[in-house]
Amino acid sequence: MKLLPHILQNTHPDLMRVVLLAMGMPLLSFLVFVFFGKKLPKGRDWMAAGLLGVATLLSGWVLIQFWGELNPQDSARLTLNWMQIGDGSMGFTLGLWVDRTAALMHFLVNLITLLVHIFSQEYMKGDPRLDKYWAYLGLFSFSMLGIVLSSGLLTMFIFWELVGFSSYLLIGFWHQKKGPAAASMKAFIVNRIGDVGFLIGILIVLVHFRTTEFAVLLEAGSLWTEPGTMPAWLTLAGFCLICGALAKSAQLPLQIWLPDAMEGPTPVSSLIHAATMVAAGVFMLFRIAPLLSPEVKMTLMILGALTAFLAALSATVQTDIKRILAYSTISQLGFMVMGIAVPEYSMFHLLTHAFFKCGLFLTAGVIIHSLHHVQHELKEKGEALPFDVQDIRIMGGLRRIMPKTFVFFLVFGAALAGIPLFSGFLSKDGILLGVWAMAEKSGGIYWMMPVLGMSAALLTAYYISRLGLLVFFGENHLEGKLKEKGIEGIHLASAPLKMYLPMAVLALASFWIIWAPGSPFDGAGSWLFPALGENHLPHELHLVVALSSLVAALGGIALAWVRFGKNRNAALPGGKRGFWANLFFNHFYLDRVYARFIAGPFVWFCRQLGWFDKNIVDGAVNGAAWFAAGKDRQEQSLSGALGWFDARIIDGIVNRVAGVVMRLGQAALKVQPGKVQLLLVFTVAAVLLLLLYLFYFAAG
Amino acid sequence: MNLEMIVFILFAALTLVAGLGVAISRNVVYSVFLLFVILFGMAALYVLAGAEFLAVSQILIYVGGILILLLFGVMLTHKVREMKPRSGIVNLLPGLGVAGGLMAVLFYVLGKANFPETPPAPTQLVDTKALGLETVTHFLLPFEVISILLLVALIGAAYISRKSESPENPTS
Amino acid sequence: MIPTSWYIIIGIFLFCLGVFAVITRRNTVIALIGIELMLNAANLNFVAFGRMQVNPFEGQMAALFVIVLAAAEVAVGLAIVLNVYKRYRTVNLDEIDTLSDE
Repeated sequence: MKLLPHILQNTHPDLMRVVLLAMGMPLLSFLVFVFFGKKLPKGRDWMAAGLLGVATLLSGWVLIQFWGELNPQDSARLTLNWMQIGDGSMGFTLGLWVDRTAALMHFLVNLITLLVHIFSQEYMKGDPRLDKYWAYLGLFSFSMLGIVLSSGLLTMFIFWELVGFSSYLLIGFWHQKKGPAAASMKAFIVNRIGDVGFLIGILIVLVHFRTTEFAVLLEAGSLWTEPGTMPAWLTLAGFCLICGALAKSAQLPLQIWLPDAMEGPTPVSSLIHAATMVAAGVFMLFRIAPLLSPEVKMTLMILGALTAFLAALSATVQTDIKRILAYSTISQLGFMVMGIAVPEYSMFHLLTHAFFKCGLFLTAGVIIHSLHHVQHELKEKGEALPFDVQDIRIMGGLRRIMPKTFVFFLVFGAALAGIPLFSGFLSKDGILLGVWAMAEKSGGIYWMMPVLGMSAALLTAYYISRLGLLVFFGENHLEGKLKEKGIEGIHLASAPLKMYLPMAVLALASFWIIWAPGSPFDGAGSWLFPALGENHLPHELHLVVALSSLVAALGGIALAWVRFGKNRNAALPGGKRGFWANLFFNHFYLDRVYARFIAGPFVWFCRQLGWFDKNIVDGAVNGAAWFAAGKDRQEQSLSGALGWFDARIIDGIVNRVAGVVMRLGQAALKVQPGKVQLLLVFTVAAVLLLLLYLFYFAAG
Repeated sequence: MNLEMIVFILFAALTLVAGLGVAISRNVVYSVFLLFVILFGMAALYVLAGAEFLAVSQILIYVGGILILLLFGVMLTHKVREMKPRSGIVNLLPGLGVAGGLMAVLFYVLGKANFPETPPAPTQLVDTKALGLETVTHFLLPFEVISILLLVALIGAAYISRKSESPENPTS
Repeated sequence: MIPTSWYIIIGIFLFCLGVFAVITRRNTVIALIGIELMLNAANLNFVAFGRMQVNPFEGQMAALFVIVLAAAEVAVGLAIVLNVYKRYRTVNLDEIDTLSDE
């Protein structure tokens, strides 16, 4: 028996070496910065970016290998035997699996992280904990790379948790402030809820298939086509598994963490929203899609469609620029989850979305950055003009002040809205086509998906146009305010060129030309398709869907123009909101509902348990000890009891008259809580009980 | 019943009585000195089991090192004027219950277990030289690991018990 | 030769005395002594069963390592006890109850 993990399979050792090297770069960055961050010389910012640059180049090479040298169906696998339990038929294997999809995602994650690194150099300049920031970014991208390259659910789960942890670090990067600390905690806990489901699902799969390797599972997954061949509780496993994806990808009902996660630094938001973290859920769904039963897929699609629609509604009334984008991400992720009917298009949308959403966040980052500057200068001048740098109500007219930013915003916004010739159109169109075709085939409730999807597409165009109109057109409200106060010499400045460089790359990838140079109006013509999956959508529907989604997009823009085009300075939704606007603004009060009906009862329950523990269990044990103890202890305990009596009972009478009789008894019982040793007693007693169980029941 | 057995019973009884004394004695210093008796009794039992080197190391390490440490511990944590550092007993009933239960379970296991009462004749002489050779051949890895552990423990102990330098937190 | 079960019986008694001492004694130093008792009981088992191994060194080696571990444990344990004493001016386990929520 080999105790250490050993290699079971390594199909393309050379390729795998490069992949491992690329994966090691962010990890190296993490290790170097976490241990020696403070000691590094001045160029350390470039060192972090450089490591990611090398990783990007390596992953680009891998990508080229997959499109040039290898067959489309070829994949490189590296499998390790992690451990052996029992007779070894249960495969606890870890490993990496690089196929074309993984190679694509691998490159995407590296590239986006590299761009975010470059952007962050300006954005985070002067932060005292910059070394930690680079370290966390390294860990984050390393764990995300692990997810996309993992060969099985077990491996994926390990990196999944790492992503959760590093996102916790990054969201709460400014942990000295209250908001980020709470937001990171919330993200962590909500993700944990999904992870429990994920883990249970993995265990069911492991028990049933004796392995969690995707390659084996996918073959087994095709059994769904013959009804009755798969046990019913695999459906349960599917439901458990998607819990993890729903939490990570911020879908109903676990989407509440994502808007709050905006508390993190803006580059981090762009990273979370583009290639990492939220993409993990969709990627996982893509991997296990064949394994999901029709019921699970149905649930996923409904949840995705609802999320897409509801989040888009919420995005229409937000006033915080990052929150608008956050809800937009939730909505777009809803599209992807809904598109699980056509997983290859979900993946496509994930890829295109990564670029333009990252770009949108960087656009927001540029604006916030320059507003921060203004805030800083005001502070130095000693002027009091408090404003929220993320509030779109103080923006406006930025078209003149930041023309470059405006152009980039137009590109990214058009891609998001789904205007033809932009990347978003290709992929969103494919998803809508897929659900439409499914609805035509199955009818009934399936029509919900295309209807909700189209409405969400309309709303998407509406909220992004609203954002654009309010931020870039009209008068600049901040300058107006400055003038009112008579403060001179402070102006909004354009951002340094270094910030625009990443945006230029992202903007290029927001055009159709990168994705489907041959067919600007039909995503099916993309070069990605043989790799992502066979494309089998009905072509005759394409025109209808494309036209209606175009109508939806233009309709949304027109609606926004009507509403905010003329009176954009005045009609800012702010102070007073109507009932519906309020509902949308607070995202249907989901937070409060959860706090009231889930967190509240849970805390109450815990309090009851704590009370029981403190007053009944301890009391009984201590009482027993007290009676058994010698005479001198009784004297001591009497005074102790009197002091306790004083504190607890005299005060207690006022509060709880009814409990007095019981508590009197406890006052005599409760002596001194010998906590540590009592814990030991419980531990040993538990071991004894376990042994008894083993002797009498398990052994028979 | 041969002489070996009688000696064993004598030392075993000595060890157990001393152990009982450690567990219930009120005086902390007594407890520590009774531990001394236990350790000697144990060493004798080791000799009877044919583990002479172990017996010697037991006395060297335990009596020479651990016991002294414990005595220092007692002295440093009790006021000097208190000539008889006393220590009470808490959780008597739970302690009795748990220890008694544990004993019952262990005896039950012993009763059910099936192993030869008398060991086979030793094939190899277990003397100090052989043990030393074995340490640096077969058991080299555990040996190295345990030496690192000792080093870590040493540094840790020195670090924990050092005088605090930070003025804002003088107690730690 | 001494029957193996004799050793085991002594071991059981010592172990339970150790558990009893750890749980019931207020003084931390005596709790540490209780741990020593338990370790010694385990050692006795190692030696007794080690006599029956094909490789006669295994049991004694394990016992030796346990002794070394015990030394390390006492060193760190006493350092902690001294710190606790510095902080709380007591080494009585039942008075050190910061873990409790009261």
